[in-house]
Amino acid sequence: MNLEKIMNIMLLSCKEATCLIEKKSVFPLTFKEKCRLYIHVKMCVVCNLYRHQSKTIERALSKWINTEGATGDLLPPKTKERIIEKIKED
Amino acid sequence: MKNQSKQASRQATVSEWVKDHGDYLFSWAYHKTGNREVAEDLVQEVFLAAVKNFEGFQEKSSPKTWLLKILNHKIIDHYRKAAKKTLHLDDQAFQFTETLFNANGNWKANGLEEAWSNDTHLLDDPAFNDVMNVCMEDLPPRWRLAVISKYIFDKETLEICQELEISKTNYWQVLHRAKLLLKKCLEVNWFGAN
Repeated sequence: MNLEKIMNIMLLSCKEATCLIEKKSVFPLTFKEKCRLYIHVKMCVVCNLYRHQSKTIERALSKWINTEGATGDLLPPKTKERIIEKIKED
Repeated sequence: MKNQSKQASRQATVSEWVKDHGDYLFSWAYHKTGNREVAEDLVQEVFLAAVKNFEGFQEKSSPKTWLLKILNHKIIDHYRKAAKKTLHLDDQAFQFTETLFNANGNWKANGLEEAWSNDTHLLDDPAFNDVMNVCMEDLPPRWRLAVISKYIFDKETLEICQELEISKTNYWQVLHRAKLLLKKCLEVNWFGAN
């Protein structure tokens, strides 16, 4: 039996580990989950990097959400007139 | 008569707001939806809702803040409707994120893992934010909704679950898959391309 198979029985897969990393950002982990995640991330370079990448994506998302569009994305004057007309009809 | 003049003054105030804040709201909505027509419709809905619910406006918040709040709710509504029609896209995207792992559920190496470490000034780069736009558009609507509600409203997780009509378990699984897809998209369009 190769090492990867042994690891799979004993520990989390990377798919499960990264899912727990995301769960942790919204819900508390159980004690067992915490232990398994801790051991996995200690041993797995790629998941350890994923943790960092996930935080980078969070920051990018937060920035993306709070950005208004590019300057020049203006509401066409005709649409403004149409909206004002509709307001009067109401 | 008194009611009529009240209504007229509301209409006049909101019409002024269209001139003052229409561009800002449109730009915000266009950025979030990626579609000019949809953005124009949402902005129109916001102003009509503003006339209707004028009592809800309190002078202590600025009109711009108040209108933006209405707009954000309209954007979420828009995604919620879109999400219901596009459940098949969830499946496709899910299958795609499965391909990032091997049969044992461990990462397939792609050689780009280290490229992320040099990302200190990443968010200041306008080109990166353009890529982010593309990657957000690639998310299936329901996944985008999950991600956006979390950041746009700072909502309690439970509330988000209710809005998405999904269980708690499903919610962090959606977040997980959305993150995986964003990660892959950023690697292909940014880290791998640079």
